[in-house]
Amino acid sequence: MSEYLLCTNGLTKQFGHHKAVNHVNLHVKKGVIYGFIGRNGAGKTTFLKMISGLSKPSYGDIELFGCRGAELNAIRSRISCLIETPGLYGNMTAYDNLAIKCKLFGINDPNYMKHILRIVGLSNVGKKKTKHFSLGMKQRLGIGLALVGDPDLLVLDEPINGLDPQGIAEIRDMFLTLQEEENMTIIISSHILEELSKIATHYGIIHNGSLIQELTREELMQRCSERMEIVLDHPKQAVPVLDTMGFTDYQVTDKNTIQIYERLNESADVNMELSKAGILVKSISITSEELENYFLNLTGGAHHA
Amino acid sequence: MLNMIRMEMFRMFKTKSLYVIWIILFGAILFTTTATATEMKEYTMEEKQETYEYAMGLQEEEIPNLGMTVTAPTKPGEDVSVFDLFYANLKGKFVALFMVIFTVLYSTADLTSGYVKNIAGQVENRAGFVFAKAISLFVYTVLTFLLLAVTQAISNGFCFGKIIWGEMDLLLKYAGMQVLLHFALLMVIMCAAIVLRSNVISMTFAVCLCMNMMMILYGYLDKFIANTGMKNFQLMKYTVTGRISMLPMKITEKSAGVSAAVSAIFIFVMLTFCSSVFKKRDI
Repeated sequence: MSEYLLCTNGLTKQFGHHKAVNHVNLHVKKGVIYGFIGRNGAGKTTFLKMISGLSKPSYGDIELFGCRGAELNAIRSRISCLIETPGLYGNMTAYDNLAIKCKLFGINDPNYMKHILRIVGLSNVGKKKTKHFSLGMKQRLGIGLALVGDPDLLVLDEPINGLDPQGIAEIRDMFLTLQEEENMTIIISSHILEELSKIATHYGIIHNGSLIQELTREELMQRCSERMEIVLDHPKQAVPVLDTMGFTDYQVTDKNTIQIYERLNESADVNMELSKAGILVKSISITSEELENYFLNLTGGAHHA
Repeated sequence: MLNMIRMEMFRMFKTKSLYVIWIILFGAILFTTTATATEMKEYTMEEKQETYEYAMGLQEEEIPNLGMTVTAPTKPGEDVSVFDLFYANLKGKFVALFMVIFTVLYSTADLTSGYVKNIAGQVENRAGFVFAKAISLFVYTVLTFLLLAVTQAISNGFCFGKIIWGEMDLLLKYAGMQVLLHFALLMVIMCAAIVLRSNVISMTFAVCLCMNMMMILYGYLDKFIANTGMKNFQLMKYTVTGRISMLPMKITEKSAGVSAAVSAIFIFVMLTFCSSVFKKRDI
């Protein structure tokens, strides 16, 4: 059995000649909160629709809970989603909207619906029809609907859109509780990167339909943290020197760069030791990167996040 | 599947338009009954005879006219029964008009609101939603007919001062067959609404069907078929709306057989096509 709860292999969605999702190989482990990041039109929603069973892939495979192909039909009830805007019946109350989905799952306990309303902070809306809800309230109810049936995998497309800061914090805590207490796996797409970085344990970055990077929170933080960046011709020759100096937290990031994440005040010593070893250092600097800039650089532009 | 049916039934009874359309329909029934009562009071015996002959003439498997008419088939000198007006309202597709409007609204509500996104990915077979909707609409058809009979009786009592049911045996047979035909019509409309995903186009199509507007198209098709050698072929006789209009008060075996066959074929074809489209479609 695969170590992944969700695994896609060459997943592609083509509309005419346009590939909205292009050969995506994504991996999500059980019990993680996976942040799915991409600019508008990058293919996030199309991808999420395919894994949620709302849209059929043009090519490629989806493996969910170890099932693939026709076997997926049997485990569909374990995946729940909130895609794009929440779909609600405007002339009905929040309770009735929940009750409709509960009927589909054979749930008739009014306390269950009240419990869901309490979780998403809508226990006091009474008989108010959802057409009179604010965007944030609708979003909360959409999340509530996604929780009906206690799914193992929750797929949420921009779930914190329209929420006020307090609402965002509450929903964030709710996701963390669901992950920790229910061991629920959550995939969240969002463009509010700062918020996503507070809860996601893993990240996938999609751009122009292609998955360009998958990384863990630790890897992301490391890449965004303050570091000593050394540019030189032959980084491998510098490794024994750094080892001799007692550095352990460093990384050769490309053919010309070494990044050191500790003892940042010793850059002069590093430069001297490398020079002594006959290694020419082109530049040495202390640098850091904002989380947002990191994503913007990867997706190619500061004006499109 | 049972849960899907429960869900659809729950949704249907929570839909405001169900009650609004019922109230308007039953108000309209009261209005047609009042209009008929006024005519009956004002008409001379000759005029009553003409009306009776017109209504009975249309019973003889004649092709109906464009538009909508509600004409009571009451013999001059006799009291207007509940069955007379029940028959007149169904035959004129007056009831069908309100039913198809509800069907369009109900069938597309989950698509237009986006609610379908909350549920469509979580079921083994998406086609089940279409069958569940069909079952809900069957319950709706039966309930509408029951309420129609009650409203018609009350209207008769109110307008004529007494309630005469007419021949109950014939009324039950006629109502049963009309339930089947109306359900088949609702399946045609549900299929159009789900496949087209447009309330405006589906509603226009539904109203055109009830107003016999498709007769123009059927006329061309009849001519085309006649050119192939099949003389006197009338397509209208093999359509659901045609059968609704042509079903006589005293149902014959032949008429019942054709009506049942037409209904069954339309129900089967529409459900198969609609469920197949909905199953394959991206949401």
